[in-house]
Amino acid sequence: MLIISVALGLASTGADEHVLAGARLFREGRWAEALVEFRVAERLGSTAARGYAGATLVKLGRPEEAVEAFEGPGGPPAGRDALLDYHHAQACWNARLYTCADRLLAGVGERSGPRVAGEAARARAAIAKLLSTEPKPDSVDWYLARCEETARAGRQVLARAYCSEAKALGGRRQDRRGVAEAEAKLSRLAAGREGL
Amino acid sequence: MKRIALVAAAAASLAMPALAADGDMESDAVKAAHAALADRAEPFAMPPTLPDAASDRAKDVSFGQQGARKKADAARKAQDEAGKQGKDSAKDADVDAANRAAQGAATSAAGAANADSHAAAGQARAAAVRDGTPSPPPGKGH
Repeated sequence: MLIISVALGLASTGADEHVLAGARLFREGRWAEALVEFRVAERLGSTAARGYAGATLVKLGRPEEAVEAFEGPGGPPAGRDALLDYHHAQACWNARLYTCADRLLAGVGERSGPRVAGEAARARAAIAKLLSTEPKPDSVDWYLARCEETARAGRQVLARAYCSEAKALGGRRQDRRGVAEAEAKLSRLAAGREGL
Repeated sequence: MKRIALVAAAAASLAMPALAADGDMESDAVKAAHAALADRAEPFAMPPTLPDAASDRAKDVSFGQQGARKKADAARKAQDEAGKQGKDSAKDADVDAANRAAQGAATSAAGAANADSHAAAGQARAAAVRDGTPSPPPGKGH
């Protein structure tokens, strides 16, 4: 037991060094190197590193992978950390998952400081404007198609995100286009049936 | 049995400060990461637009053209950079080897998603070193 604790302690110390290095590189805008550090920290057992890796993937212009990092197993739970939620919302936004972004930004508020809170409020206002008119049927279909493509590629987390978006957008239409289909796909994803 | 307990207690007394220190360090690491996240929290790209199949096809075409143009630019820059290095070291070097290194660097730089001229120059320098071509001192040619 003691040996395990000591071993865990040592591994954790190593992980923290990588988190620190990743933080420094992130601040300097050296995204690719920061990502490597956070990934190493994650492998060494840092529970926080996955969220930081997600934020770094957003900076690298890889929003879908960022969504997977944030929402996959071991990702930071939404609502616990306002700053991580902000970066998670950016991942969703850049992957055009706007209702996902809006949900996260709703909880950001002043907890993250006035500047970030201001940006969150501006982003939410833009989403509200975007969704003030009924989404086009083509848009709902786009999300359903993306859900299917990603599920086929074995990217279940991403497939769930796209199907949830299709469901949310379809629900804003009078004819509820795609809602039933999205729900059926989400059930199949929850049951672990990959191909949909 | 007593001996085991004694050894365990001794080991525990050695391990506890390390674990406590680790706790402090973890919070330092997390604090540093949070400070970096706050520092680098940027505005959202405006305006948000919902995708649809037609607009996506149009975007794919235009992104494809832009991407090809960027790749060509990166390759050209990389070749220029590497070419300069080849000239600088020409008196001792096999120029053909330098050109081959430059070509390789340019090709891989163009293929890399985040390629830029600095990365390509770095790759060219590395390739030149591998090929036994003397390279200019760091910073030269930038």
